[in-house]
Amino acid sequence: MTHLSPLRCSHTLLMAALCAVSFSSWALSPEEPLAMRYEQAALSQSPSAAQQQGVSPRSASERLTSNCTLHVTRIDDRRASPYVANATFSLSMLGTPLGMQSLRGDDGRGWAAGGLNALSRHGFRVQTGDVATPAPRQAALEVTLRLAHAWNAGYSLVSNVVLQARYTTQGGDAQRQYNGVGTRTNWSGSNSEYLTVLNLGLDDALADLARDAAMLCAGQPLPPQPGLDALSAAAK
Amino acid sequence: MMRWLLALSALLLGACAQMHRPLAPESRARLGDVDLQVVVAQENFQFSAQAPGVAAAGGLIPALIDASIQQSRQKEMAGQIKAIVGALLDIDFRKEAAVSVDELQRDGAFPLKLRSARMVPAALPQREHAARIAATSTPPAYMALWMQYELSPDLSVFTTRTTAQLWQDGATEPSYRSGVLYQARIKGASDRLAAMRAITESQGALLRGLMQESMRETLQLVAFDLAAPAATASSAAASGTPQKTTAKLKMLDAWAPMRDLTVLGTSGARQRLRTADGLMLSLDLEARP
Repeated sequence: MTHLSPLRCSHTLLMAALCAVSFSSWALSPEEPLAMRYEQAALSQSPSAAQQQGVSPRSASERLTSNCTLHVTRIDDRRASPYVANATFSLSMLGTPLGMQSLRGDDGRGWAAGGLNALSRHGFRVQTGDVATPAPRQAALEVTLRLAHAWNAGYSLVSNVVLQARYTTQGGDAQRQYNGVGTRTNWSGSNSEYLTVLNLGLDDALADLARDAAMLCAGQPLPPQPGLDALSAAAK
Repeated sequence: MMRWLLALSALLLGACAQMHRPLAPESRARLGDVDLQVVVAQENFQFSAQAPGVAAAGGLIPALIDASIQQSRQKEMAGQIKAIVGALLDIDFRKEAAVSVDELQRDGAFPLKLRSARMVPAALPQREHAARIAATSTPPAYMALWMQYELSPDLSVFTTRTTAQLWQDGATEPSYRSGVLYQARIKGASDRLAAMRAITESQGALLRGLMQESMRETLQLVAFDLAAPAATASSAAASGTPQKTTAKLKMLDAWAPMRDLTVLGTSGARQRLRTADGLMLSLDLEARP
């Protein structure tokens, strides 16, 4: 079953021709770093277009709060490497990589800042800079970008984005980690498509951050963070 | 456009015919020290949903259907992915690979003489890659390993897929090319929750151990294959182990039988095998059908 007979190679040839679009998924332009610009691409479109891009229309523009100020006091970029995407081409699930390309990103902090500024769509007033002591309906927020990476998977592009947040409110401090996942169709494997799926992953992470920030602004405690603990509770 | 597609297809057809390129005796005779570069271009386990395979029928519409279904499955997996990605955030793929490479560099019995070894987070840009190959016109030779790490969607199996290529004498074509697939079951992974606990406890010690073992197995298989491909088979014959066998391999969430595998030998609790196409495998001894 693993023997690549001529017949199977011919089939592979046809698949390769059919998968020219997917093959071009490793047609990145790696010489220049990817200009990481956050765009609310899905949000500016109709709800159906947003859904096509994997963003729930409800989460994309849901108003979560009013009269809540988020003071973004610090944004750190602590990713393990500056590369934001890799495209790997293999002939089959059994195969090892035939080709590999990587894409470097240029400004993780600025990209994360762009996403945080866009939280205004949820009703927040977002300000950059220190605040001595947050007043009621205010939260100071430090954000660390831990992961932002995208890759090709079959006919799709997938991204993981991880943000760590530290909140300071009148009620105290809280720390959370937000894991965003983005996915979209891989049409041409271009740099811009990788940026879009990264933005989708960032949107997904920020959607959870926004919900928590709104709760803290309202003086409510945060629910348990989904993870092993929640899985354990659900399994009982 | 059509000529491009045909040329691309011919390239890939050529690739599938020559994925395994053994080292010729005259090249082996000239092989001295090697500069090794290990490319691990991923920052996390890239959990990807499987496409249903409708596109195998051909055509744009089936490909779009596959893409749509794959994305739906990917979104369904998102919650599970989130739970595990965060827990594994501090695992450094390249650092774990480096541990094994360092050990082998210090091992006097290791047949591949590594003058240097680098773990890098990205494939070299084409110009730099070409320059590096051209530099082999004077020794040492240059070997690149492209390595991918995977966890099966149910978290029960850890897999690495590696392509090894060796350049010598300034030649643009590699004098050696091979693939190595390493697969190991996650111990204690009776269900998904148990698997997550096993993977994440002790700062991912179990997973780090597998990463180190996969690098070690991969390099050892490549090194012995370079030294003398026949040697790996003769050692198996000398030990009395069967020359041909079957095994099973996990692909995504399904176990697939593999037949007509040449036994290369065993290493501890692992069996080393080769497919008819030359792909080398390192599998649990328990992975017999």
